[in-house]
Amino acid sequence: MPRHSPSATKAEKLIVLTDDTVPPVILIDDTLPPVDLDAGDIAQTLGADHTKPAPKGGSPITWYAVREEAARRLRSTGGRPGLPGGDLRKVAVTDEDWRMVRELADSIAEPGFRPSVGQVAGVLLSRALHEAHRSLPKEAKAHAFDSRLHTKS
Amino acid sequence: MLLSNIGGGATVLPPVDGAWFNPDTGRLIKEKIILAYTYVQPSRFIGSLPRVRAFLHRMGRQTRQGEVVAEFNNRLYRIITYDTA
Repeated sequence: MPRHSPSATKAEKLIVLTDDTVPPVILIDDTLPPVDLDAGDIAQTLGADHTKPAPKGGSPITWYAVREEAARRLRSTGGRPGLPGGDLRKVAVTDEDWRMVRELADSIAEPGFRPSVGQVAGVLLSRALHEAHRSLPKEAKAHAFDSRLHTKS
Repeated sequence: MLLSNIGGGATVLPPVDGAWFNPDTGRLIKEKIILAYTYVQPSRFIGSLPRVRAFLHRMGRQTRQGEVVAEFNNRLYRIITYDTA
């Protein structure tokens, strides 16, 4: 795609590629009605005596789900397990955060399955991103999708 | 079967070591626990709550658990008093 620069002359016409023929596609499962999830109502219906938020950082169930997902996604490629479709990218991480990821990686490891610290960090980042993206308002998702459509060359 | 009906599938993890402190006896009870989970459609989950309740209470009764805990939407639901059979 041509770039607009201060040295551009009138003869150089800026071309912006847009695909206006294709409307944005928003995937919404509207076959199921929205549900108001009230913890008190759920507790009452379940016959629970108490309810409280899960521990910060995730409950054991959450953690084992992460472990299971890591094992599934980091499938073995003969040597160390690799993350299919993943590219190496630079991300700044503090020493403290990296130490925690290392501890998590050590706790996941078992005979025949020992993902690297970076691989576990990738899985955790992917999960966090999907979680955050799910919580975005629908309008924000539609806007982001629309912006990508009009800027991609 | 119950979780699969709600979420279209379920994952059961291998047994792990668990411990529960019984406040009545002051004893630490250690046992092998198996975690099972599924990702659900909220409305389908809400509609299945009576069945979930029946299962959790029956399991607590029949296996003589001091407490049954279910987690949903980042909240823990603790069941101590079970429905009668």
